[in-house]
Amino acid sequence: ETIVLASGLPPKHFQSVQGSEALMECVTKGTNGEVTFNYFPSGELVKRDSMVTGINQGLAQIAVSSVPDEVAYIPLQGLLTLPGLTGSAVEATVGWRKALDQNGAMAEELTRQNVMPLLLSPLAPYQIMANEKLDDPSKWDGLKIRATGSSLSVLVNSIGGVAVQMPATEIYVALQRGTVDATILSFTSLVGYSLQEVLSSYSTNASFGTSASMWGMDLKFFNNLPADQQRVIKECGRSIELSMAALIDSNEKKIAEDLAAQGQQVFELTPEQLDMFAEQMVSVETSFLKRLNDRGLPAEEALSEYKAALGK
Amino acid sequence: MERKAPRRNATFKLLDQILRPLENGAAIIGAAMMLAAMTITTFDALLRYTINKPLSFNYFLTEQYLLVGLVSLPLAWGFRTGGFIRITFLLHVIPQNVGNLLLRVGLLVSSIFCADLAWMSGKNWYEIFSNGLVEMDVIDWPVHLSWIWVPIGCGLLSLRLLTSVFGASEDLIVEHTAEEYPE
Amino acid sequence: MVLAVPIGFALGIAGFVSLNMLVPMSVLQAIMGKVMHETLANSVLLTIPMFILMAEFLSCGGVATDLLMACNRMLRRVRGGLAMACIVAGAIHAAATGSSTASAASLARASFPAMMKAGYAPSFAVGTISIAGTLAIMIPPSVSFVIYGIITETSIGKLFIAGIIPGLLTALGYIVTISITLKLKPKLGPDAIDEQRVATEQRGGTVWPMILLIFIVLGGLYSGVATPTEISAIGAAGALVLSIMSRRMDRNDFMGAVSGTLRITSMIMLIIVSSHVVGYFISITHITNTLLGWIAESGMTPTVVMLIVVLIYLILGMFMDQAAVLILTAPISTPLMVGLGFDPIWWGVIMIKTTEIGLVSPPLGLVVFVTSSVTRTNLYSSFKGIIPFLIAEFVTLGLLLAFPILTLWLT
Ligand code: NA
Ligand code: NA
Repeated sequence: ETIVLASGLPPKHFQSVQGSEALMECVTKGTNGEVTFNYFPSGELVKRDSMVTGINQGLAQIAVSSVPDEVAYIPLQGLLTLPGLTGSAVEATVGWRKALDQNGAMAEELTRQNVMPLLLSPLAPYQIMANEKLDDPSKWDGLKIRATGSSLSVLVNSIGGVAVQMPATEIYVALQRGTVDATILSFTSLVGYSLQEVLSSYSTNASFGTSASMWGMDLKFFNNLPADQQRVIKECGRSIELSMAALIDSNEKKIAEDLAAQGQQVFELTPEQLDMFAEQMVSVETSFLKRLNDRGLPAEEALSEYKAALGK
Repeated sequence: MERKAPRRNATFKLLDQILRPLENGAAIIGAAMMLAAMTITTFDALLRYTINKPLSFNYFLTEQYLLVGLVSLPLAWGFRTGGFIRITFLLHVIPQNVGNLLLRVGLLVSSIFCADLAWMSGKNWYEIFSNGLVEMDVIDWPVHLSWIWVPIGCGLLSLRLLTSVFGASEDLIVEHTAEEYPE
Repeated sequence: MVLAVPIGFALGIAGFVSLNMLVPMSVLQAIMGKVMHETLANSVLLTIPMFILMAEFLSCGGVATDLLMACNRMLRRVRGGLAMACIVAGAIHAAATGSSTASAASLARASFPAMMKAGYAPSFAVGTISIAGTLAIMIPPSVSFVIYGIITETSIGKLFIAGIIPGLLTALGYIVTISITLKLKPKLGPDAIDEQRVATEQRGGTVWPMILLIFIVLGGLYSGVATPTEISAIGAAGALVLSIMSRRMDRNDFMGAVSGTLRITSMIMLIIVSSHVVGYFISITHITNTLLGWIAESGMTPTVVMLIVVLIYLILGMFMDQAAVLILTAPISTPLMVGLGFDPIWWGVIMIKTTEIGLVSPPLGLVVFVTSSVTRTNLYSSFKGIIPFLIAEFVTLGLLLAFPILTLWLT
């Protein structure tokens, strides 16, 4: 059996190496070469926002989704991006998997789209990254902050900043020239876009939302595979997602340490400061839930599933 | 137009008459979308810079709606009034009637290609429309209104190409000049 | 087939037929269903219609022509002064935009009529304009450098700085080419006297609106008022306001500018959509991986490997969309080069240089397509006009390959 795996990530991206490549190797090895892969990275076949259609139109049997970019198809998974929920990639990965295993609203959404959640990869919680120490909500007032998607934009605005959207290819120049003053990102993405060259001050322990990727598999295709192959694929996904999450967390830490060693400002928010931000972010969750509820989606049910899985 | 009116047959005339107003209408909407993109993007940037109040809906509106529409909608009108570039120099070395036949076949194949683009994107549009997909940006956006322009634009272009298969020989190779503006 | 079908369709049809041999019909139809929307819904593409619109507004007011004439007046004692002015204008334009197609289209609107009036051969004029347009991706800001930087995780800031000297060197190469070409084939350009006469006749034109607009666009970009994409819309709006204020534009001019822009934009985009169909074919064959992988394992010396890869890029550039070449191959070729001991920033500049050449090399030379259609010049003679500049491109590429210091000096 040859499976087409399509991803929007560049082939040298850590999620390609530690995710896609590791997955393919694990499955091929585990099935003694019975299952092989035809791999298309870089959005050659399926873009970051098209996992669901890519799978259902037969372009690929496994496709990688960037959850915030695909909320039109999987809106409930978008709850993962809300601020204040998790403190690390490992925590988010374990919680998301646990929530899906309960076969509740979040799992049902994927099943209805014919998607089997093969491998989950939430990023580390996002930090505020700027050229000054933005450790207090009042310091955000009137600052232009690059944010993507719905929940992050609402978050920036609710803290008093001005959310600005722009393509990833333009953040560097925009920060360099002061078109925007700051951005909310994880450290891994920061260095991926070389933004440490134009920024100098970063928080380390905030939880300003996050982003997440999902390796989804064609559910009908999966169900038609022999049981032993199904088992191998499932186990590979679950073990790789944990090791990748651990790697993300340690990588975040390492980058932050490297930046500090280079003389850049890397700071922790005090519990009082975290509380002040949390207070301002309450409205983000409420408004996100309301928007989903208004469309008749079981948003509260899904969020309580996720929160219960996180132990909150 | 200075050149002598070419002989055009009835099929061409009928199709042409039906298509023209549709093409012009689509092009006018495309023009309005382009000017809207220019105006809103300008105000978005200037308001953000001067008073910290960007038009935060602009990014999504321009990318997902205006850009798709401003390119797709004028395609057929653009072909009718401007022709599309092609490599013509080799046509001068083969007999004219063979050349004309080739041109007609080429237009027919192009028409089929565009019809396929229109049909398949139309199916996607219908799927999105009937599922009521919503994109969550700073506000909620209906996704189907982003897709609709592609099947309309490609569909009109396909019909225009088909029409020109029946057109006069003179029209096959002459580089058209703009006969009228869409507004 | 290629003869009879407009390029916008020919590429797409060729891609369709080739894909049909490789993948099931259902997969092919899924690609057909999404390729156009996927290509168009991309905010960075806004620069194409907006910079063309800016040029259209300026040219119907005659404003852009005035600037060229002003440059020409300064260069009036030089044979080919107007063509050189076009290169200078291209370099200025390049500092404001990162898209070669947009730059070429707007330069064509601004300078082609003046060059015709001065007595240049159409093919030479189109060649000059096209090549001036390609400067946009070497001189920062450049979309191509950003894409390269993100894919290969190299510093975008360093890439921008690295592009400055090669960009200026390239522009200088074009100016020298103009001078030599006109010396060898004086018929391609006007007599120096003619050119002087055109310059003198045009003395009445005002230059301030264009200077003001350049100031707005470059000032807005470098002071951080707007992103590179947004600045194109501000430029178009600014050109509209200036043309109305200088009372050079009436209702017909306005509608002519809008319809001209729409026509060119939809045609360029159709070509880009079609080339993406071809891109799917190339992806599915894995041909670029296979080729580069084979070279990596061949055991040749680093310099030979590097030169072969450069050659592959030049060949790919002939047939493929340049963004696609970058996205498909940079992830493979850059680690290969770094592994052989080459600098990734330098390699980025070399790749962008080959990309630049690809934009004007037949048969798929996107920038030449654009210039040729804006100026309504026959495609064959347009490509003929490019030949002297291609020679200059190879000389510059040779210099950049031989002397990495040219690229890495400022970084
Ligand atoms: Na540039
Ligand atoms: Na080319």
